[in-house]
Amino acid sequence: MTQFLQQLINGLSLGSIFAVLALGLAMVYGTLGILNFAYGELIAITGYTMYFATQAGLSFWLSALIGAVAAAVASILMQLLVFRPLQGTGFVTLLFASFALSQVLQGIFRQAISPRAKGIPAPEVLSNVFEFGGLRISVLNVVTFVVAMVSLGLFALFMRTSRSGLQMRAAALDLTTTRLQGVSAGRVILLAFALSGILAGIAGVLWISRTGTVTPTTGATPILVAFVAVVLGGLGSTVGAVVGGFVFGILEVFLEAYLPSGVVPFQFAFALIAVAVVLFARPEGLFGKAVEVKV
Amino acid sequence: MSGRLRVALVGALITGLLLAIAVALMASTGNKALAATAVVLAINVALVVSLQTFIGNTGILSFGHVAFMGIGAFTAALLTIPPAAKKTQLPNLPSFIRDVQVPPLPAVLIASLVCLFVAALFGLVLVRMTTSAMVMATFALLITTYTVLLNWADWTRGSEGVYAVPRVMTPWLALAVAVVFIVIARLLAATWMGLQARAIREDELAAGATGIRVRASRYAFWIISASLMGAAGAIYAENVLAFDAGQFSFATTFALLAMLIIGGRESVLGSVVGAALIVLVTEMFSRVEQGFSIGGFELPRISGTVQFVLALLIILALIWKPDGIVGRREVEDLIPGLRGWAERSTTPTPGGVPDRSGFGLDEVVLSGKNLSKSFSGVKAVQEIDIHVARGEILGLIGPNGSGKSTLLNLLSGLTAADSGTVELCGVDVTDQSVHSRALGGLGRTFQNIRLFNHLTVLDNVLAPPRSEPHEAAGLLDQLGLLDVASAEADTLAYGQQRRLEIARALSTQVSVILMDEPAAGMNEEESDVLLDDIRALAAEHRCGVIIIDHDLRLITRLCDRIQVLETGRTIAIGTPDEIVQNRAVREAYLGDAVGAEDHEGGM
Amino acid sequence: MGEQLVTSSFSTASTVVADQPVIAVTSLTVRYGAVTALREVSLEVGRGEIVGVLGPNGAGKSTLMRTIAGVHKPVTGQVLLEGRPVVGGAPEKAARAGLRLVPEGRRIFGPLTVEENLRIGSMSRGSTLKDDLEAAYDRFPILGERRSQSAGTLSGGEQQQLAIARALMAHPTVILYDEPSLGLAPRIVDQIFELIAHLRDEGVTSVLVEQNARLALDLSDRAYVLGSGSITASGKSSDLAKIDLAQLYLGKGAQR
Repeated sequence: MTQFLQQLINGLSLGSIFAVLALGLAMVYGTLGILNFAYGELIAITGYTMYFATQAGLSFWLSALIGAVAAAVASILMQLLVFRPLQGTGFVTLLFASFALSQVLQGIFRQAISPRAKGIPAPEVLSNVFEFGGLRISVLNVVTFVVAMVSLGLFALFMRTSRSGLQMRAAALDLTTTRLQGVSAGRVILLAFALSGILAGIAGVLWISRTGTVTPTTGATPILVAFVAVVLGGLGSTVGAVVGGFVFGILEVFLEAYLPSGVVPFQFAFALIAVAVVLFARPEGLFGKAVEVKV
Repeated sequence: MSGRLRVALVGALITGLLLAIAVALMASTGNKALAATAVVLAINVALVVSLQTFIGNTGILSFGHVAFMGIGAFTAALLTIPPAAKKTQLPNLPSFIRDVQVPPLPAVLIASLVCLFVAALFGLVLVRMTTSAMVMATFALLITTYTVLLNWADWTRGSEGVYAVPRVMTPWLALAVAVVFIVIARLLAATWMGLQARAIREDELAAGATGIRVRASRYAFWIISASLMGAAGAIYAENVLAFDAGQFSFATTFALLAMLIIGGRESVLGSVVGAALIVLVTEMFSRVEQGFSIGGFELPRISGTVQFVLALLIILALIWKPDGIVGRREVEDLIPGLRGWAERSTTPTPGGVPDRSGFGLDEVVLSGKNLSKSFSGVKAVQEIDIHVARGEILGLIGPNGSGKSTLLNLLSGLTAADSGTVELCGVDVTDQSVHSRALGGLGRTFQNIRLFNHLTVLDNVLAPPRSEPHEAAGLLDQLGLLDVASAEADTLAYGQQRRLEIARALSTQVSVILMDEPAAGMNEEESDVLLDDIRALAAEHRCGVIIIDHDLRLITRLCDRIQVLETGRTIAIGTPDEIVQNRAVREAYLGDAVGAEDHEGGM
Repeated sequence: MGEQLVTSSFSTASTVVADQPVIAVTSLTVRYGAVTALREVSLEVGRGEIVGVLGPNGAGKSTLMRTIAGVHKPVTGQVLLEGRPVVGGAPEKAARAGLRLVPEGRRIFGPLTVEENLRIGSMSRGSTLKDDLEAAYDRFPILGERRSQSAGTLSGGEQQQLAIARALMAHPTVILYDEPSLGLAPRIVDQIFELIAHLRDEGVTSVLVEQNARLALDLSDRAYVLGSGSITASGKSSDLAKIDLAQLYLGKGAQR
């Protein structure tokens, strides 16, 4: 039982990062129908920004803040420089362009910074562990969970109560009718990319705190996780993305804990197969709606 | 051999010839590096063509094919590496694998079969998803396979990789392989399977409505393409001789997709052009990556240059030509006269109109009983009965929002009824899917034209499963479309597009055809001609017709019977004369009571 | 029945005001791919008028409204709103210039609450939201009762009221109504039309697209009849009402 609770806590902590990640990806998909493959590179951008900031002598916390902002700025630039010129070319072209963009960015990291991992030392307080009724809970796990939940809460609050949030919810439902109310499409789209970037930044900070390093391909795992969580939750559903993130995080931790040691390296593969089984039963995902075609 | 297959074969051979010239030029220089590049080019062509078979025909982007390349490569390696070498590399390999050595060709075939099996399993989940979810699922497949290959060290040696695969590849053998792949891909695309897959690519919904099985088609292309990819992966292994799991991840996926998309994803020629271009660029920049000196300035060795430059080029290419360099064209489209020569006697000639005079005219072919449907509380259709007999034309009219289109969707199976039953030719089809009903003899046209836009006019009527090739030309002739038979559907004028939709519906051996505003957007003369055609076609094909239109004049002239709907209910049903005189109808249509006294003589 | 259709009586219509028209459309042609949806359409709407646009389905009425609202980009011709050209493809600009489209099929945001729908209507304005909401609930008490319900649960008539209320939140100078009677019971249609008349009295210029010709002609000052993308007749509504409507638009001018 303790073992189970222990894993649940670890799973919730990891899942909360995944939830934030998936939400950011779902954000842009919901508004624009773009699956941004280069979303993972926003995590790397956060990491490199944190690396340079800490190298310049800034505190870890300040660096983290700057890192998250950098991801938001980068996300906006992606829209302006790549996606906007390709507007109207269709899902496949946009998806592939974002894939290419992710390769360009990885190339830049490799050339301009280093192909090797750069360390970002997290403050020692994060690695402290306190024991609680037989459970070992690290400060990092708690901080991760709290930061992720607060972020998700603030995001929900923003979307529910602010003018801009309302505009974005309306735009995701029906962009043309929203524009007919005087809401600028360009502004809503930029805002979607900015929010997506901030979420990537927050998830990035949490991810980097966990791994302690950043490499040119740091974004690979996060983007995969976000993809899987978004499909698992149901494409186009932000709630689904968050739930999908949590489910996938918990699944991964439990597989790691309970799989026989010989197959633990395949843990990720097992998690994906489990998701495939869910999708076989429910192809539209946990929170997705079967598409109603209008003729 | 049908003309289509002959064109494909000729096209494939010419495409192969172009590749052969390139390979010959490189191999004949005597430069070892260039000869090696020639082999790389040919193998890349095989890989990209395999990928193209899926992406080009189905229109679904796959990130997962490199997984099959990896599975194929490792299968071939495990089968061909001499047992002695296997013993040192992979001591934990089970003996039944360790002690065998298979010749190169059977190894390729076995690799292909292994991939077929894996794809068949994964495909069960894949084809149930929406197309965007499928893209992500293929990506997950790539990662899963990569993880397995990397960690299953007893079989793959993980990141260290395997070596000592016996050498077989020469430039000429590699070229032969590439040509075989090109021929397979072109021929496959030219069969009815390819045609149906492309019809789905163009319009999933319309394809289903003509009886095409969407999931089955995607599944077939998925496993065929995966088997090809597995074979190509095995051949890759038999060329590089030593490799590790790392080869089957992002970088390769990216390079292959780049070749495909830059060349033109809907064309086999595009795959060849794309492969040639990218291999060339890669070779050039690999030199940079090795480090070299310009004017005494020593450039450092920079890794990742190739990928970076490629990626940048791709973004620019996408902005410049989103459909790729050759677009949808194949080689025969680029050489004037070639297609005509290859098609020769197979150009469609009218004739062979079906004889359906045996069908009785009073047989009810389609009936709906007590049909109801609500959408989020709004009762769109309430307890409607409707029926139509062979040769009869039933008009369905009513103000906007009266439920006509919903009723049509209930009959065709696109929308499930809340209650009520639908019978097609005496069979209860209430629980049948759209394509089953289509196969049962129900055709339809759509309010907003839904053609297979990038297929030719002829292909539009050939794609439906029950289409009879020898009748297609006659059908096009009847609808005045024979002259434009080889034009792409979306280049037609509006009126022609409407007619093509009717031709496509008729090509499925229909017993009944549902037409949703076929005359919408036509001027008076056009709709008059259409009217005569519909009447003639209904009589000749002995099919029942249910037609929605707002134009009372057209409906009253065309129809044998008219059924009037308002707010989801039938308010009148009768002959055109009865309907025109009907007070309720005039009220529904014109607003409050328009007395007949205003204009004696009526409409 | 050989009477000529009344045409170009615009210059003689008494409702024309001296100052510039609120909407001036000149030789507008709009295409979707191979389809020409509108051919050389010209029309004007004066301040405070209700102008009807009639015609069968597929005649191009909705396309005309959407083009005036800036959704579509015309091939030729232009739309002037208060003398300023409407930018095709940027509907938010026309909306900010004081134009509102009450679209066909209402297009309310179903998953959002009634109040959120109304708040989106006021997005082009900065302030006095509270007063506007109160005014909307005064005008449409049923919306006030259901303010925190999701809009998709409203009945058809209530949804149409919401669509109009949403438009009014912007204090528009002109409202385009695209088939407001669509799918509504006659009693509800009467209420909606009374409302449109009432809004005109408050100074809102209106364009009314209707399939229900009698209703539209009763309410409007002038009307245009659209057939196959072109204007086939226009004039004072009272004049148009005298001729055979069935002939005019159900039968595309021909007879059996």
